[in-house]
Amino acid sequence: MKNHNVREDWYHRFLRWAGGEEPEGAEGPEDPERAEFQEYLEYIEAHGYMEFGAYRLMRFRQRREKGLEDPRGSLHGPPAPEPEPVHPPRHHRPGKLRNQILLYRVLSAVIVITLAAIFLVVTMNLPLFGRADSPAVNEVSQRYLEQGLEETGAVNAVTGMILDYRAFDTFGESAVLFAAAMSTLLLLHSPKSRMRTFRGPDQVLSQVGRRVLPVILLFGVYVVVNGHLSPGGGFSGGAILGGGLILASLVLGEERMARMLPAPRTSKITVTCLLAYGLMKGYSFYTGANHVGWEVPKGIPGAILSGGFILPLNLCVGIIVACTMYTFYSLFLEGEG
Amino acid sequence: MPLTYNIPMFSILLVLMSAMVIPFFSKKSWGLNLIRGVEVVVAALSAVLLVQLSGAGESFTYQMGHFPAPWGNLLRCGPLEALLALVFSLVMILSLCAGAEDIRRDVRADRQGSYCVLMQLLFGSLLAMIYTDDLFTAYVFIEIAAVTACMAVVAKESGRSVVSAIRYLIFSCLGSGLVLLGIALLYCITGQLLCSSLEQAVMELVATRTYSLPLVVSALLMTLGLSIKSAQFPFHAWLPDAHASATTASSAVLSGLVLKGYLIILLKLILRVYGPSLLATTYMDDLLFLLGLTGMLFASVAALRQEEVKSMIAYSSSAQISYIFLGLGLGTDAGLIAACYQILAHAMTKSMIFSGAGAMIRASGGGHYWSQLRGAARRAPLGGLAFTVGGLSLCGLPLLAGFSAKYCLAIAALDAQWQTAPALFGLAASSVLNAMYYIPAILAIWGRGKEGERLPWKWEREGALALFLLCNVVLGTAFGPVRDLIEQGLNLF
Repeated sequence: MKNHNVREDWYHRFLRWAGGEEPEGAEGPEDPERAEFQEYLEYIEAHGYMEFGAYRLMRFRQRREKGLEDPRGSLHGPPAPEPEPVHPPRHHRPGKLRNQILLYRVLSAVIVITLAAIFLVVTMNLPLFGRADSPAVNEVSQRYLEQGLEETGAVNAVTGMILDYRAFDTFGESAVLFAAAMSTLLLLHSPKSRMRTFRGPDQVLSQVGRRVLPVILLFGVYVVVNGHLSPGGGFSGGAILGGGLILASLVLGEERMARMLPAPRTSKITVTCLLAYGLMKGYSFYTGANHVGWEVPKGIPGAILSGGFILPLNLCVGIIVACTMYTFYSLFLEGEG
Repeated sequence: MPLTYNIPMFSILLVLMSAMVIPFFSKKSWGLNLIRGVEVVVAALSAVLLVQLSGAGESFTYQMGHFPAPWGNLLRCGPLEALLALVFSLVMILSLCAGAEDIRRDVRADRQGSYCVLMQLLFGSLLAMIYTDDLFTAYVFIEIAAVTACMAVVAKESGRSVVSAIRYLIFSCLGSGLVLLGIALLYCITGQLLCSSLEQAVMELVATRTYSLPLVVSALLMTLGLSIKSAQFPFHAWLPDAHASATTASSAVLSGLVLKGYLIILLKLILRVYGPSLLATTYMDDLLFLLGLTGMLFASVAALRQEEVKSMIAYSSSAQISYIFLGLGLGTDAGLIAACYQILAHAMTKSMIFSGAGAMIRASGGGHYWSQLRGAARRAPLGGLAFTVGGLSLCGLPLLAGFSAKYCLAIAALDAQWQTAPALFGLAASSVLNAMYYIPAILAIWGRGKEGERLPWKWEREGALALFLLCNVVLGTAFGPVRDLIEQGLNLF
């Protein structure tokens, strides 16, 4: 009985949702800026496109003509009465979507369920993971595992794979990180941004952070430098270092960190590492493809100075990852302020 | 191995690393000059490679590093790849020259360096998509293109470009995710990522009839993902706003090149991985054909309704992309040649139209509605000429690039089976629709409007527009040689 009730409840809730109703508790935003932006979106949907600034100017003039105050925090006297709603109430979707909302929501549910069903059926038809006779176990992975140590000089087969066998892909991945960091820099960084006054960290965070921070940074460096000998490497060690830098910014204060690592400097460090990576791999692509010889000596496997270019490449990747993480953190913080 | 075989590797690394040098520059104008200089070098190198490869009639593979193919990375290059690289780098230089003033005006001064970095990374990722023979490498560079293309839209920082870039980002991520799922499925059932090994493995799977469901689903997912990213008709909702609200150079590059990068990967999947026979047995090529046919008509009808010049051009891009899908869906060699010809012709034409429209908008004081653009061609004559020639080329005026592409497609359609009549009807109807929105536009811009100042003569912009016009006429008149070159390239693909 109870089960039946619950199901009917869900079914009706779905019907009401598909009919265009909002779930309870989501009547409208309280933030006046957000409300204004929603009105703006409804307006451009109904009247054609207009710049947001122009829209605000128009609304401002309309209000002034009617002798109304700015609804947001007026300084003179009591707030003015609400202007007449020009547009339908907010729980209606604007424009075309309003008429098609039933179709839209039902179709979206159908598509999601169909895709999920297809993926489930496909997954049942895939070879089992880790079986010896699955197609992914072939001569490719065999050579990586059996001759990796001899050919790359790296004890850690994963590092040998990503930084020597398939180093071009890894260069591409580092470039993705760089592109993401440059994008946030383009959008959020402004040279004259005001720094938020640092209120001083939480007592517990400060005390624990100061003790833990050196250990984290040291561990990150260890994971990066030892990447060709033990599990780890540039990506994982760089993530630890990046986390350490973020913690440092929380504990020491953003201002001190901003003096030490301002956004242009982090991007220059990233770029230097990327260029070093590109030059080293460019050398080995060229010599490898043209069979020139002049290979970098691989050293004794297991020694810290071994594996040819793998150690410096790991350093580069580690610094790139750490700087990218820290750039994201600091720029988003700046954007909030 | 001849020294010229290093050109693909060298040009990819050169482009990516030149992007990474820019943050060191203190003077911002150096960034733009550097990336254009590097693109000139890449264009020259690609031309050398094209002459050598088409003369010798050969293609080659280039191992990236000390390890042979399935273990290490591999580039592959033939005449078609060299031709694509040449045309792409030309379009890139010309768009950046024609849109340089708009970049200086639309992008904030302290952010122009970052903008140049991102545009150059975008170009590098397109080059890598052209040359790579490995699906995972292709995916990595699809990611770079996705991030940088969104930023190319948002760099203008107007309200509309921010909203449309967010929409673009969501669609783009959906597309990348579907492609990645497809690659993962394919790897699960074959254990390979390299195209040539994949082809053998897929042939074995088809012969033994194992894993046929995951195989078909992976093909579907990748086609779906790539058609979302290249704005094929039902998935084109993100395109018009994103391309219309970006700065001129971004619009030209996004419409002309970025959409084509994904189509080149689709072409590689069809030719090198799945093979035409598998596509025919699973009706995948019919799906592509129908997508192309509906897109040609519906996107053109949508373009008719636009009141704003750049939105109209953007919708027309979606219609032109459909021609490529139509060519791929014919399933014949002639269809593939027509698709490649359309890739080249549209890359040249659409970026020229966007650049010309940018010059006219600038001459009209930033107004981009038809009412404000009346008589704009008199204020910016070369921009108006570029728009006119581009529009007529897309309508199918002989001796221009668009006509040759349509002609190629029509010849290919004649050899097809049931597709002949619908394809020819689609071509004719879509040409009429193109004319219905381009010809009134051309009349409006040459008509008598309010008198305004003429746009001051800038060698940078006018030279780029003139070169665009020249390239367009060359692509239109040199129909035979270009078609032979593409045919040779596809045979060696």
